[in-house]
Amino acid sequence: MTALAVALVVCLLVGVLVDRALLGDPGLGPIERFGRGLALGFGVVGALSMALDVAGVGVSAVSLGVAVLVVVGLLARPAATVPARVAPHADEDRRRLLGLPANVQAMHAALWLLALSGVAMAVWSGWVRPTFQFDAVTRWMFKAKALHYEGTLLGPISHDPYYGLTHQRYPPLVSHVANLPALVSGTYDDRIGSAIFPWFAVALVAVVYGAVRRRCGALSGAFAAAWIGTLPLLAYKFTSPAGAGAASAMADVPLGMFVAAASLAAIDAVDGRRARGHLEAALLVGFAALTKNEGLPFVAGIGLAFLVAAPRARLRRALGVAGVGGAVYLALWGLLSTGLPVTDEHYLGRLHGDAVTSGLGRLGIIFPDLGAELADFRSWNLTWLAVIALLLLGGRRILRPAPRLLAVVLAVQVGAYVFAYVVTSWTSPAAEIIHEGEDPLPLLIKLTLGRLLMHIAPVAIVLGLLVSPLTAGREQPRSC
Amino acid sequence: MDRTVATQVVALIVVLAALVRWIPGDAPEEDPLGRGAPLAALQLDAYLRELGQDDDLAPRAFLRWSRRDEAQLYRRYWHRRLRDARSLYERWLEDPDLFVQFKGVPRNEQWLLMYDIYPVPMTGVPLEEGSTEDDPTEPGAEVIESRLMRAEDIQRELRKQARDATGEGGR
Repeated sequence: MTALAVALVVCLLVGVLVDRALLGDPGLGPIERFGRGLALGFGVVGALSMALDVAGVGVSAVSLGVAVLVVVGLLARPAATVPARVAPHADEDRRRLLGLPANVQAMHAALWLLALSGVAMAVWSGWVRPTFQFDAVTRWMFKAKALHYEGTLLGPISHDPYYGLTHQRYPPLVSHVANLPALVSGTYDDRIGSAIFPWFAVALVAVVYGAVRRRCGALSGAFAAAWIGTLPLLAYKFTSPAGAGAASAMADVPLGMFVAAASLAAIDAVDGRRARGHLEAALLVGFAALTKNEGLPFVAGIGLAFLVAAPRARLRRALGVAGVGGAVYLALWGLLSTGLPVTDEHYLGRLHGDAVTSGLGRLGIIFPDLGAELADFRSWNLTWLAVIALLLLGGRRILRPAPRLLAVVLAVQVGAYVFAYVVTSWTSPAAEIIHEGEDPLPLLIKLTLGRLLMHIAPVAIVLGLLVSPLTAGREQPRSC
Repeated sequence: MDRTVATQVVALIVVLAALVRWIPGDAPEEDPLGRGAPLAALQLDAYLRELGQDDDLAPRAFLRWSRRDEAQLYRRYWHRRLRDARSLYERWLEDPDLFVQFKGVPRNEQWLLMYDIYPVPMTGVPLEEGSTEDDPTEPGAEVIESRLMRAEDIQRELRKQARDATGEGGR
């Protein structure tokens, strides 16, 4: 418990310092600052650990502790000189909330209670359960365990084909984060390591709350927090086959958090709400790419989104954000990973005409399964149906810069996932039993589609709220 | 309907949608190889026992099981696996030449065992890649064979216990 708490506090401290010193907009509400601090802290401390490994310095409590102290030392003075001003819109929101009828204030409190109950369930489950999800054990936690014992992920665990089960080319940011409590305590315990994962969900809820609150008011922010905090797949649906929830030690919720945080920073940038929103978006895009392979299309997606949605200097912004994010990925993992063994999930290697044309017939499997997943009440309650309804009600509001940017991000991610299903050569012993002699794609979709949608669900919810007639009327003039 | 009322209605829908977790399940989760889903329940069970909770309420609820005897059977094999992994690690610290050889272990089970046993050195491919329990043992190897029972094995053992209990076991 102590080791986990220390690891979280260190990440939060580093993230808050980065936020104040580099991103220069401390005038946000305390909940959003907490969420952004946690998000940035996970990314920066994880990236520091990866940088040590790339540089050939063993990852240990001493080496990473010194690196963190250097970063804290460099950032402390600039962070201290930033005035702790309060943004005018935050004050306005507060006044507006206090001026609302008592029943609306009660609703605000009830929604927050709901949001907290959801994430509290994830945090509690992550704490009392050992790692239980098969993929979490054999990929992310296996790498975390190897990192603890070897001090590096560049040894046999990444090069010996015998450890191919760990998917050696998968980017390992979350494994570095999961190793933090073990570095503090000095002993590896997967129960403590995996208990850090639900805190990505905490950061996600806080970041989304702040962003929606600034744009659409406190009640809408609390509504977004409750909506995301109670998503079944995120909060309490742990069992296989989906198993992508915040307590499962899978990298899907962390990726969803980085994608959402980066997208929300990006819309602040295109709306001119934050002077350094581009830099924040770029950093978070890089962290997303270091979290899962599915973060790679996000690098392209955010670039395309700026091209489509930015009001001016589109090419410069697109190249800047995607370029910095891509550079972070290449420096810490991308270049290194080209020399590692390839698995059947090496989708870039399937970028050729034969794979695409031979897989086009799979669209007849993919789209019906996608529709069924979107309507799966047990995994998503009414989320996707509500998002679609809100988009229809929103009409032309989706053409405003911020919603347009989010829509492009969603379209690129969904397109990338459909493409991956079309070209994949994936199979497994289970698939060979169940689909003997047939295409194993239905099993792959069943195992993974819920996880993939978790990456984009928060962005889709925010998009729905931004264009919704219920909330759009409460927006600040600059927002959309 | 003004915006406040509309917001309250939508919020009420979200609250109701959140209650989906209390809807009873229609069937146990699928487990194509007959050994995946129970692992989660058994890991939870092992941890709860470490905390001093000596009943199987949590794993049975987790898998929506109603049969206590099934949970007991799974538990027996799970505890053996964790105990063996812990013991192996302690012995390896004293004897760095120690290594593990897997024989005829199904892929998914071997992968989980590899995680438990790491960093103790390992060798041996899974059952699906041609390994069997009859493979020759490498000198100095600590042999590990499949430890978990398939669902059908569990059912078979339960039926046998039921027959024994009713005096039909000798037929």
